[in-house]
Amino acid sequence: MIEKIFMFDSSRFSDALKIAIQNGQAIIRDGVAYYRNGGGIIQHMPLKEVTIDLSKSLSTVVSSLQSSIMIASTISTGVIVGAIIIQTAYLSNKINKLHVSINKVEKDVKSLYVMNYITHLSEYAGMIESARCILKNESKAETADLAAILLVNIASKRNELSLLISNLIDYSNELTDDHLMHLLDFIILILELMPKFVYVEAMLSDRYEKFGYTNIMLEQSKKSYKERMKEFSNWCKNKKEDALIGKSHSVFLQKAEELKLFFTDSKKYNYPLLERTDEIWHHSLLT
Amino acid sequence: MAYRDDKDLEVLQFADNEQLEILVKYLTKKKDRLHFNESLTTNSKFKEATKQGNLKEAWQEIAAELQSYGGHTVTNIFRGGKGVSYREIVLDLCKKMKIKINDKTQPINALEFYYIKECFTKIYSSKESELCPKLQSEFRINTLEDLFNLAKNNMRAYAYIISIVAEAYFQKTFGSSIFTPTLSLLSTRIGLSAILGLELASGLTPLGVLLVAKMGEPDYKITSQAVAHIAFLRILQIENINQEFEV
Repeated sequence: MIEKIFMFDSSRFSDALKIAIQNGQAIIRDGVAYYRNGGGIIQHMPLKEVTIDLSKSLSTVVSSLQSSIMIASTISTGVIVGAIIIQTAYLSNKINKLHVSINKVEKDVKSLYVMNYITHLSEYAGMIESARCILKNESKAETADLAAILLVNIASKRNELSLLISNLIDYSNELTDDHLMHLLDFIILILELMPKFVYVEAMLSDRYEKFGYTNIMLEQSKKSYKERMKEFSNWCKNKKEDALIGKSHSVFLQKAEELKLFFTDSKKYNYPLLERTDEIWHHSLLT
Repeated sequence: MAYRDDKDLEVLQFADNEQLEILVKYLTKKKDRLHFNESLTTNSKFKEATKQGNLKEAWQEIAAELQSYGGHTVTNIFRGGKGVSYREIVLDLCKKMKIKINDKTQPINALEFYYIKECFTKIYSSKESELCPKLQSEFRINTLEDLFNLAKNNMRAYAYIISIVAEAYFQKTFGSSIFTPTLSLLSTRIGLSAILGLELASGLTPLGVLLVAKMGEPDYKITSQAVAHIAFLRILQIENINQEFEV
């Protein structure tokens, strides 16, 4: 699936912007570079259209863009993944996959408590799609009231998602191999999506100039995501060790390669999305 | 020989080619010559995997070969051509070495540890063994931990050591025996009817029955080396977990 996205074109950065970036004086929000000390706009970020193939994995798309002569080599992974999330059908496809996974898990999960959280997850994904829709609309005035309501709702669902992961891990100990396979796929998918959802929320918040809120929200989300990842990692370690000594589910052996790839990819593609927006750009432009 | 589902042998699917090559050597070769009763090298899937240099593809065939060495030849026939579980092989080795196991259901790595520890303790406490000074001077191996560290850095040297330690232990404890080689795999080639026909026709004497029973015993020289190797592969895999799931 071929799509076109816009990326920053660093070859057309003004000298003033380059100097401000080098001195750490620039802050970039929603495609505009400002002076950090409130000195006004430095430059509207120049853009360049590039083509990507969404049928390939995220890592392939990112590395082909990074190695492409179309894009300045200084563009970081966080910037590219962020652009793909906001501008393409990538996230919609992932959310569709999430709904399929929810249907499978619903048949296995007998706990009403866990099911309740899964319902919230479905609602959360819907809200993120709405946020993307608002971000696509260039008229801020037209969507300001919608965005304000959405930001409040997204914030409450985000916290529930974090709790859902803990609950699923606890609950999984009661499941058989077949059921656990579905649940494991589901947890991986949630953990893959969580930072991407947060990124969309941050973009929406930035669009309506709630910069302070964005920073606090990202800090909290980063902390929470790291905690959940740590929890999941410890659980996987224990389960794989048990499986290697024949004590528990062989699902963890069957899934070993996928899990390994997930943890490697998370470090590359998910953690950067939880950096403060200006940090992502600064890392990108200064490296 | 068919593979018997065995959760204790699933660790083999994560071993790399070099690690599996060593195991294959234990199972198929004796002083650079093929064991007369091995069947692995004629297995088509194994041959294909060897050709491609990817023995992982044939990990179940390799596991099946080990299972067959661990079973009694005649009993293997009644098991539908399948050998015994790996747990049974380890427990059998422990029994042979008179290692007291109170709980046979404990995790497999605990049983493997008893076995390896016994091999080392016996060899190191044996004054007449020429092996200890050699291990200490050439490889600086004084403890199990030293051996494990060597395994991480030099797989071939480690394989050589466990092979000679396990062999030395069995030579010392049981001596060489004409009965050691098994008929484990022979049974699949001859077939059940042929074996039973032979038995009926020959009209075995009690001594003959004893001879057949003894000859059909598990091949401890092979299983002892294989178990030591698999035990260390398991330890290596467990060591790698932290790195694999690093956050």
